[in-house]
Amino acid sequence: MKGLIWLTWRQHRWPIVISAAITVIFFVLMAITASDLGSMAAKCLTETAEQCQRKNTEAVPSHATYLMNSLVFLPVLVAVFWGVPLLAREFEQRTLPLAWSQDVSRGKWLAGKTTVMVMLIAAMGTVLAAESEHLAYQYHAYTSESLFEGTQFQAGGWLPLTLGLAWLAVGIAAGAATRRVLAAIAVVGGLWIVRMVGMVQLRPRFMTAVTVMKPYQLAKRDRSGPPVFTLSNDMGINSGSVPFVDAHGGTHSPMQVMDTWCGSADDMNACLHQHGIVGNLVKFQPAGRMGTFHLIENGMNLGLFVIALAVAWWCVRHTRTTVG
Amino acid sequence: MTEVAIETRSLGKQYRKLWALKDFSVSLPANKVIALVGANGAGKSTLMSIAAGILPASQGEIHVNGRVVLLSQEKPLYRSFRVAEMLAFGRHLNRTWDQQRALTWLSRFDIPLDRPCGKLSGGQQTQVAMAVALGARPSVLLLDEPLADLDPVARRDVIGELLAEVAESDMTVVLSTHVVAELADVGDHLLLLSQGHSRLDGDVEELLAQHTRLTGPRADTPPIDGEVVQTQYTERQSTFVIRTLLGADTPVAEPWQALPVTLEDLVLAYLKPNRSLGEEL
Repeated sequence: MKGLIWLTWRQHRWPIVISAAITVIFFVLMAITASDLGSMAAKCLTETAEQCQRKNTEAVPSHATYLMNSLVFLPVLVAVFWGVPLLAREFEQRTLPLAWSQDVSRGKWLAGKTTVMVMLIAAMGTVLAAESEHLAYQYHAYTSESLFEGTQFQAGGWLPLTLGLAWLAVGIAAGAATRRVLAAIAVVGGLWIVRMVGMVQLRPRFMTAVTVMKPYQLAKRDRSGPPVFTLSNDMGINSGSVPFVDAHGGTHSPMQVMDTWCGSADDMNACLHQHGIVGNLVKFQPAGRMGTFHLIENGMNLGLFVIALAVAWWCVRHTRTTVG
Repeated sequence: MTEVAIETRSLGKQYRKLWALKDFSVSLPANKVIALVGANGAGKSTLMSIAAGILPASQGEIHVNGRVVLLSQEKPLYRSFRVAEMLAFGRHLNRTWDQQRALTWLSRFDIPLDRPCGKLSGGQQTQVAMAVALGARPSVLLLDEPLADLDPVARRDVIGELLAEVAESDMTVVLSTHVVAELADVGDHLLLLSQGHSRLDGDVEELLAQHTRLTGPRADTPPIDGEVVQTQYTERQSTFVIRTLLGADTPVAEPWQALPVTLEDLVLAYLKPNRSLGEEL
């Protein structure tokens, strides 16, 4: 194993060094940003709503968003710069017969090198996942944006760690299957897009959503006292097009209500009242399910990790290194 | 009794419908230089890969006595590794490693240790690959046409050094080639492959002693009994390569002449029974 550690380091030292540097930089930036957000959130508790804007377009919350968005994309870089070259570059440079004709079998070679990479990615992923969760919480504390949605969800619950491991394995498998670096990168890119689009569709369906009728309120904001924020961590599912409900329980699409009925109305409240609208039908995943959702997605990532490594293993076992 | 380096029994390797090796049974002696000869596609690389354990056989058995190291035709090296790092690679990935032997080999050919392998010439890369192979202290060293890109002088030097290594150790070298001219003064033992089968197998001196070239007037059959290996005709002359017990010492009646054969003649006679002599395979 010591020999394989040396070999892995020697062959992949630049990606390892650069990744370690990126990990340190990300950690420091996230820690500073989280600290700033924490201070700003604490300060806001003693200020009025006018004094404390709590806009996520301010510099510090924007930095937090950029950092979390960048972090979510790091796993695809792990696949491209760590996973793919492990086998594809050796296939291209025809060095596998050399490696496999020493005293280390091809199985041990793959297992040894993969183990070294997994350990390194796990270490870096743990550091980044821990700090990104901290950052997401501070971002939520300041902006009140739900932890259960978008980048905040993906930055929390150790998802960056399991996603990094899964995509390391995907990169290795793509390299083993295609035997070409560029082809493997294309495969990884394609799978990443499929994964991103697929998860946006799939994530809200992990469990049956809760549907409630939210009474229509005409509350006016009281701007004289301290700001009151509802720190809800629900995952809104139909946030973009919440149907309206009338007094008889009938539902009406936002288009019908807002465009057809009340599109030209001067007094929106009167219009809604006139049509018997009493509330909205809100569909969401409650905040209490966030841990379960993280668990499900981590399970999917680890499942992908296992499947991808099995594919790589199968490819290596069935690789013919010579032709007679 | 001679110790055996490699023994196969009914060995076979099938690539889809094509048999690269079929029903292949040989016993190759230890501590010899074995010339493995055959045309391209004869099954040499397949046999060596199976012997090295990097290719599974489709059928039959193979037994290799001791550690085996294969140096393939492509002489793969990590291009970004310095020569010294290639030796470190060998040291880290082998249970047995003789650093001094590897360094000695490199110093014989003046290979700089601090230069990346990718910046070495083809011949120098061959020497680095040889050093890594020899440093692993193999009992059986399989060389799959690794000398093809060396000039004739360098090739002779390498073969000379290899023969010295064999003489100083108990190593067996199996040298595969399709360049018949490369064989002169190299092999102790000849294994000739054709289309996945063994055509000739034995001690080189014994094989040469058992064969003769008969030249005489045009005739359909040779004037002596024996296995006719090759037949060639001109308008007035016949030439037969015959395998007999006494070889070139077999008495023949005038005007026939019995002449000894060279190793090159012998190989060509078996591989191409109707081909012009001296032609490369």
